[in-house]
Amino acid sequence: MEICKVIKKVVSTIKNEAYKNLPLLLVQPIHLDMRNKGSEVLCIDFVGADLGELVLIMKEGSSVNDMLGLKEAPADAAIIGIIDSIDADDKKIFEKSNSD
Amino acid sequence: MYLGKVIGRAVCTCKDPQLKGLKLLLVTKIDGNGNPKGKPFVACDSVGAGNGETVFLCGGSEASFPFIKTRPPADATILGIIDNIAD
Repeated sequence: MEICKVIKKVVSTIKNEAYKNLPLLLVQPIHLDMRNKGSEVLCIDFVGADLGELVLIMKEGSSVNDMLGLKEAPADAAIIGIIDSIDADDKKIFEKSNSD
Repeated sequence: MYLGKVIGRAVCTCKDPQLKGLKLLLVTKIDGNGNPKGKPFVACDSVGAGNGETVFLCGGSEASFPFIKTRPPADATILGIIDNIAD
């Protein structure tokens, strides 16, 4: 799983039926020092994340299928948590209330 | 999944039988602001996208799932047409 920042909300009407009415968010994977890491990922949002929040994403097709309750849905990334705080080496490197 | 923009179409007569009838579109990956990045590639179309449209795609084995009956050998498929991208 990866730590990402939500950067855009994406709206699509004509899409594969497996996506139901779940929101789609564009997220940017980030390093622990908040620098961008690699290219953006489009995720199905299962938790109700908002713009600017740090989230936990999962990039694994079969797990997304389990969450959708489908066998063969064409989806490979999902937001599965909103991050409150991150500790590394006994140091707090992120706390949600300080971020905004 | 990732965002892309349709920039053209590829026609292919001699191909794997399971790809028969599928629309092949030329797509370039874009970022959240619509700027293209990387090289264009060919993707199967499952929603009826057209030239110039912003779409989202899926890669890997999941790319063949929309065509569940035939299971074509595909590694990128267009899954939806984007209406808008908001900050």
